Amino acid sequence: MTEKELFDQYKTDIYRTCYYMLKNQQDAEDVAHEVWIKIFQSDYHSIEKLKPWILSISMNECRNFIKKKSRLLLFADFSFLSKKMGTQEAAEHQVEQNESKKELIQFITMLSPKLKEVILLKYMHQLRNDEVAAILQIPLGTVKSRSNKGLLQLKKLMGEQHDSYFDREVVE
Amino acid sequence: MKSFEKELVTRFETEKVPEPNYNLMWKNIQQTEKRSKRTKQDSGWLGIAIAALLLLGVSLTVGKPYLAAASQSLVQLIFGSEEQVKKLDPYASEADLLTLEKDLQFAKQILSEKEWRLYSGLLEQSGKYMNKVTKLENGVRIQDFGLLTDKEKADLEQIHQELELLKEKLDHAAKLSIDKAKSLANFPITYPSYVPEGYVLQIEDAQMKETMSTIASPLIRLEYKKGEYGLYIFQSAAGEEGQFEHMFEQKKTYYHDGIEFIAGETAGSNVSGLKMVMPKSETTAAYQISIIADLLDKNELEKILLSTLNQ
Repeated sequence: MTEKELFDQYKTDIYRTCYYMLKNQQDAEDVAHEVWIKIFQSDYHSIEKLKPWILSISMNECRNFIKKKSRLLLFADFSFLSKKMGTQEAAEHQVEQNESKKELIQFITMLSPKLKEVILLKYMHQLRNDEVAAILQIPLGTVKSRSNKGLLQLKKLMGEQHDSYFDREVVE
Repeated sequence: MKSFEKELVTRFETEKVPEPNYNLMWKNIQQTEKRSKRTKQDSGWLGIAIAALLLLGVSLTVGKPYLAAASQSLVQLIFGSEEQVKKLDPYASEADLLTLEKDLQFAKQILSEKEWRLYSGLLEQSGKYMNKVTKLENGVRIQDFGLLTDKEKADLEQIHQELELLKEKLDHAAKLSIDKAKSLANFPITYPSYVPEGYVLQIEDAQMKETMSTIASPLIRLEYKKGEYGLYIFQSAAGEEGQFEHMFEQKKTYYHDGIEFIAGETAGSNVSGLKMVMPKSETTAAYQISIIADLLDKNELEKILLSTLNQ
């Protein structure tokens, strides 16, 4: 598989994972870029199960980004290349848009990163518990407990903040 | 709960999220790979430079001297050596080191002597801890903060809080409004009077560029969007390197009505670029305006660039 074929096959998976983890288009694009660089710098031809491996890298990069962004941003960003300028405005605009549409991401964002990772892998990528455990390098039991906790929190959030959330969507 | 899980899967499958421009993303990835392979010096991609910085581990007591020997870079002064960075971050390129050095120079320029001593000291202490928690597994960099003791975690948190305060000062110093950029620039900052139908200006901002130089100069970005397609206009003093220079390896110069244009050429991509270079005049310094866009041909880009002169 060529790099371009690999990119075309998994570009949406990677980007959407980053987007739901980071809730910001520009950040998601930046991290997705980093993910792809790492993939191409690795010997991906030798990887048997590409998707779990790719998602593992994506999750790691998202975690690193969150840590860096929340605690370790040391410098002003002078790089137009990274297109980060205007991120604040874009993020605010995006949040406004999202709020008005009451998108799922609004609720996903309220989960802690650990719960979010499990929910995304299980329900967005539809992976089995054992696959999630392998990707996140956590015990199977932890996957199950985080999954249950995440589901309960989501259900509560959706129920409390948006009555009949799914019902309303179905009606529309 | 089962029905809720099914609904969740459906929502993930059907929910629309803001889509990136995958063509541009692919192009940028290719360019980054090429730059990485060449290890050619450039001034972009700060992200990895930051990562490189955070991986460093060098002992420190109370910060670094304010006046460094001219022959010693700040990267060397603070972190020991460039090799130290490369040992700890296999993805750090020469270009990243150069960017890191520029950023440190900028910080030194903006901060007071006391703040700089604090800043450099905090960076090294942070690096020491980051070195402890960072490891590579199958080529992927992982940070495991569980390797730190509770006291170390608290120290690190304190370090980052203090760094954050200094970073705010640096952020503030680097960012400019367009009006402020206009007052600082010794060249005209203009908007195109023509853009293709459907394109809307979404972002306009400016930052100081090349803070190592004796005369800092603003770099201005205008971003127009038409759906998922983008049109990026960059304005700066002539000779500055930016997105255009990094993106296009093949460039062809031509003249139109006496004005110099440089077309960026790509193969197998719908991303095009064009730069217009305006010479020094009696009232302004030489400057350049470049465009990078999806789907638009060279003639259209030229029309947009020329429209910036009709003001």
